Amino acid sequence: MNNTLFHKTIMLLLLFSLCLLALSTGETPLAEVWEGILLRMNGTSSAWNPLLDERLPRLIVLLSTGASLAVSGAAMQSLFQTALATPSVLGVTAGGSLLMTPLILLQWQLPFPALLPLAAIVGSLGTLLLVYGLAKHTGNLTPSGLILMGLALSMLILAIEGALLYAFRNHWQQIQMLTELSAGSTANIGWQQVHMQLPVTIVGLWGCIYYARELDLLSLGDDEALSLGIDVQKVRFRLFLCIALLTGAALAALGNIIFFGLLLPCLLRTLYGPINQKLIPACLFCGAIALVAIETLLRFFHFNALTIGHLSALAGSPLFIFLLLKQNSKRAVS
Amino acid sequence: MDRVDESGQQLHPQCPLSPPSPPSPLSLYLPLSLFIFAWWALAAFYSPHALVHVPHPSNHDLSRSRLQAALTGDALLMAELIQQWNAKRLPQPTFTTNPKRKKLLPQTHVAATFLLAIADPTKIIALPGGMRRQTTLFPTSLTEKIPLDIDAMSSEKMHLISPDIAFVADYSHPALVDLLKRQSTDLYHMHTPSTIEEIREALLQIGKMSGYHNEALRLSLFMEAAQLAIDNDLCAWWQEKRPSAPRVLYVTHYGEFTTPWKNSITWQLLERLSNQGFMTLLQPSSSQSDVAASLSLETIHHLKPHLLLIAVPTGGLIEAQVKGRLTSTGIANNGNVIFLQDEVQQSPTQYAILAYFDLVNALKTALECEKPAQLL
Repeated sequence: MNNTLFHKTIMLLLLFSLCLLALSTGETPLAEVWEGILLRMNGTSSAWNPLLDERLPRLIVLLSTGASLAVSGAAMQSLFQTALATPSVLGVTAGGSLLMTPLILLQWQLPFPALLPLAAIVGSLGTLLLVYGLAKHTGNLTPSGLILMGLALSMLILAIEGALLYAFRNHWQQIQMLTELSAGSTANIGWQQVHMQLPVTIVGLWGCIYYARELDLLSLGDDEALSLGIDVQKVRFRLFLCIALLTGAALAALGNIIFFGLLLPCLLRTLYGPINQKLIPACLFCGAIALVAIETLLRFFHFNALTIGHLSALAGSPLFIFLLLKQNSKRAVS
Repeated sequence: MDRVDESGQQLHPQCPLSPPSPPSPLSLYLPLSLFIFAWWALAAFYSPHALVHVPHPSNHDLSRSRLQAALTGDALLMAELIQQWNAKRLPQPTFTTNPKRKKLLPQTHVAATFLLAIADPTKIIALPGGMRRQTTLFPTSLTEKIPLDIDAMSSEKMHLISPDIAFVADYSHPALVDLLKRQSTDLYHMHTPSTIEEIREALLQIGKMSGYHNEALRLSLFMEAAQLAIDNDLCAWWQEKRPSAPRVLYVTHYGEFTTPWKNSITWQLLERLSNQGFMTLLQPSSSQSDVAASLSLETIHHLKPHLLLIAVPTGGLIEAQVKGRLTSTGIANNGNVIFLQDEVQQSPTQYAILAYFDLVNALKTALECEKPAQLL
């Protein structure tokens, strides 16, 4: 009990200090920022303030995205009973970005920004249902079967996306826009992205926390969950929906951050154990902390050519290979 | 959610094995969807609109449309403008020229732009992809005369047409270059020019190779004359108004604000203006020569530019979005933000002169605003 309280206190302190650091890091001197805030609070000025109008929305988006990706990764790993199942591995992220691509190429997101998260959520949910449905239909609901189905669908999605990009190859300005929006860069984050993401994230996180107990029971297997009183199909669909909401909203707000949902739940499972009622809140906090920390580091060291998306992919790929090898060696031993 | 036991019977809500009572589908999905859509609707309703008036560069003594028409290859207009600027008469070429080629294949954007201005368009076999879309630079009436697109041409088609000369670049697809070689087509390899001088040199080379040397020389001299005329016009205006040199920040915007590549023509033109004392060119500390640095609004705000030049794609949608963002920051409220055509600024061709004209005009327009320099 004391140990849990200690962990919680440490996490909260860490989160609080990182938020403070992220809010205070910037080019504008703190005194000037503070003066602007005081003037706005007094109602004497409505001038743009770097802290209120840029650093704060950026922090909210980073917190939401970090929490979303880690929680959706943990939920998927429990649902599919394998540490390799994450939104990016099963093609959920690819499905979301597939529907976002034509929107960006046609520039429809400029007059209607809410279309972007909507498309990403629909694409993510559609892909998740398709991966699960196809794996079930072929009687291959094993971890490796799901991953192979996810990879196959990802290939298909990449092919469609490739065809779209080829068709629009002369619209280099839109392609540039697509590159910038999907790279996981925080340079363009404002209140618009917060409004796009936050309500969806709240609903998705609430859903995952609400169904954490059912997720524990589902991780034992469908038959066990059913015998313990769970309406497996309904709960699974709702969890799929929550995962799609979290992944889609994060994708629309910040872009493609692959493997983040793989890394953190794996590490936290070794610390907190597999019980989702503990793991999901831990993922929520640690995901938020990790993403803010990475972004603050990138900002601090002026890594212009790298984004969070790139770093996450660079760190996540070796871990994915390691987990894959570990799983194969376990199978060989058994 | 219905909870059932192993035999399929419903579990009692107080059963220790049963999870907490789940909401019904309607009471679950409806309020949650309403919550999300209401939030989005409110956010859209309260989003900043582009109410601010952002000045478009005004035409001073030089006319942009006439300059563009001349750069597109209108020889009479070139002569008229040169006369108007009191520049020297164009020298009559006295050398013998190569015979005019009848089938020209410009595989690069730069070569095609030059050839459209100097050659008979009906002699150009095909255009590189994307040129027809740039209607601000290449009028449809001109591009319509060239029926084919290089991207859509098969090897067989290429063989049937059999061009006299093809202009290819280092980045041209090796298969296409091979095919042209096998067809005994003359190949001219060209590099993408990165300075005005290189542009003029490349233009002369293309003119020589295609047999349109006189036309290329005329356009090259017109480019020089036009640049001088723009400089003279700016100097005269500067002496009359005597403004203080503003701090200028130049960025491009597709999805986010980025600094230009330091080897781009636009950057060199800006440096030229800066070296002559007409402006102080701001360079964010994070910008490097070979990597485009993304700039946050805070960085832009912190640099405190008197004039923010933003190159955006033509079409208005991105411009409107950027205006909305800048309005909310207060950056665009003092007439110190000017949008430029990205297609013009990014073209390493004769239109670099038009890009220079736009930059100079933007500078003059901003300095002529009522509140020129308190800005950020």
